[in-house]
Amino acid sequence: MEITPTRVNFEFNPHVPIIMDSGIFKAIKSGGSSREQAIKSMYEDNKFRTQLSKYIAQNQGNEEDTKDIFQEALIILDKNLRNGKVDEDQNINAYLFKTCKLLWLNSLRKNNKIQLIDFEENPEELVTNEDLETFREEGKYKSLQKALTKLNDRCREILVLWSQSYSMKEIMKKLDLKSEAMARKSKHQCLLKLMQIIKSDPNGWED
Amino acid sequence: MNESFYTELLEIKAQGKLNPEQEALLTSLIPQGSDLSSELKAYHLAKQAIEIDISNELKFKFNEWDQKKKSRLFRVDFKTISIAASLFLFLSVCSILWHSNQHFSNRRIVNDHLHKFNTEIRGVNSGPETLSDRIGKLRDGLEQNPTLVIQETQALLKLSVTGVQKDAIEWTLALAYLENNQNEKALTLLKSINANPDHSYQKHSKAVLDKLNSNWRVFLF
Repeated sequence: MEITPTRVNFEFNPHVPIIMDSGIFKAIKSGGSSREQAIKSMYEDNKFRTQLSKYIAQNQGNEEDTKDIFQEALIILDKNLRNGKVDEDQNINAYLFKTCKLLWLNSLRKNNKIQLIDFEENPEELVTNEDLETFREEGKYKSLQKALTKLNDRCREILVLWSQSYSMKEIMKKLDLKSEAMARKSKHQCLLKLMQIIKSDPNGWED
Repeated sequence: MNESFYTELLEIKAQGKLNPEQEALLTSLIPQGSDLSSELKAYHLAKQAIEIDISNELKFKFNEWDQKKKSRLFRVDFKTISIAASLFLFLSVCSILWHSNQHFSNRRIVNDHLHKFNTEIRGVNSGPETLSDRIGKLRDGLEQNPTLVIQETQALLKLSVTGVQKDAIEWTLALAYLENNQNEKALTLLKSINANPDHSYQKHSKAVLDKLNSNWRVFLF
């Protein structure tokens, strides 16, 4: 299929006044219910979404694409924040928009909709494709999902809470455990169990 | 106790922040038949698997928030529609009541029939000019001074006027009573006019009586 070179409009003002502030980074990092509230406030922020919608509409997308891209960007932002891949003094709007932009460009490229002719990767870009890693490899994704299903619900919950930066004290309270030490021990056992399941599955383990 | 540290040490190792002492401890805790790189890989994959769960949970939350937002919008719309409908209904009722009030008021009844009276008197009675003019003047002054009209028409009736003129004067008097809110007297006179099939204003008086006795008027006044 012949691909028509397309000029893509990259203009976007990431400094538009948006309700997001640096407190959101801290809230997500601190985990728990404050993380959920912070993500919710970003998700329901119409100003950012309107800007993103305009950008995507200018670049061959529609409202449904905006929604998908925004959701995926928030998932990535959440993950990278929790894993310490984003600095707290980072401009959250710029970071989020850059993520959305890269996701959209990747999507256009994937669907062969564009051949970029005027886009040069800036080495100082805030987000790289590596940061967008979202386990797209179908086989590995499925085997990892399958591994999770082999864990019991309680183990799964402990690991999810732990990954969402809940403290051991919070995990103890949430799961009605006797002590923080018990919560720590349960987390350890569940993680080891999951690692064991993954190692025993050739589809997920082999590169 | 050390066993619980194992996964935490792996985590620190994955972040590249392990000091030599911790490194040694981690190495000593690696399960038999495995090595550090395999353990780290398993750890990374386990973290990825958990992230899949978290991202799925977030997607579920996004959907939930979207649904709530939609239902909020629906509620707002429904509320707005309810308010608008209530307002419309209220205004409609007010409008109906106002128009009904106007329609069934003594003033309106008198006005409606004054017009007919005027046309008929002037048309039919072109003969006795003076009395017609007098009746016409009474009609003109009925709204401004019904009391005076009552006095004048009563005086005219005492002159033993007969025929169409008498009918016209009686009719004017009935309207003047109505205009002056002397309903009982108006009703008595209107009934007597209505009871006389030869009276020139029998049909008019019947129409006025119907209006005065209508349920709407009873409800409104």
